Amino acid sequence: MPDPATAGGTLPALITAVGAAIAGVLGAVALFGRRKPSDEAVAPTPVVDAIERDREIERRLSKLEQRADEHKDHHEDLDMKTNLTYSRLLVEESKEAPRARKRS
Amino acid sequence: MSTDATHALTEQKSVSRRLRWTAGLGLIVPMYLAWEGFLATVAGASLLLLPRERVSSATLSALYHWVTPHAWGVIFLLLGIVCIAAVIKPKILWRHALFFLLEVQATWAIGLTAAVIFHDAPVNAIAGLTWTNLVGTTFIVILHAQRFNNGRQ
Repeated sequence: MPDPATAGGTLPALITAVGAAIAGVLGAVALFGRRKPSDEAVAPTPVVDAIERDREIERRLSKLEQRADEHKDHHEDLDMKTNLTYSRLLVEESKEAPRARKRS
Repeated sequence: MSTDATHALTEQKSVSRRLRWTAGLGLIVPMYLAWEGFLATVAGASLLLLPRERVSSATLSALYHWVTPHAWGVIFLLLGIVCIAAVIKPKILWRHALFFLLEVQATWAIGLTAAVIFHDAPVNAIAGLTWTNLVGTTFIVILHAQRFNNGRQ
């Protein structure tokens, strides 16, 4: 009497092997498939893009504000210097005026 | 509301729904793996310790064609160890344990059915049990893939 353990033909064993291989491939794809970065899972791409754009705009705005402050300081400096020079000129002119009148 | 914003909102809702649906996995997977690990260990021990006549039948012929009962016993014991290690160790082992489990269960389910269909072997109760287990494992694998293959690990 043949051993029941190995009495079966090759076909069932072959079908079993093929089925196991298919299950293995499907399981591997499902379990070890490519993972996306976590940010994308939490927030979909359009939302992430909008947040990125917002941050970029804020960064540029703060840079512009900083530059505007620098320009303002520079202008104040220039104004102060101009005023000082003008005052000195006025003082000098006021000193020169009586002498010129005397000479004339 | 613009099309982009509507699309983003819909996508966000879908992601939230999916994450909520699979939130219980942290408890389900270890419990399932513990149960399957126990079953695999019992099956492995039976295949290794019981006499060959007790663990052989025409229904198992397709499975024993290339792999001996003792080798299956070792495979089942290994599966049991991996499943229990996956319960104890970090979540990273879950995928490996689930893959191993899916592979062994699929082999047994198809093997037991193939012998019945092509070899006119009597239907074995283990076949039904294996198919039921395979359905359960497939369900867990799909849930696992839904949750973790989108970046939440």
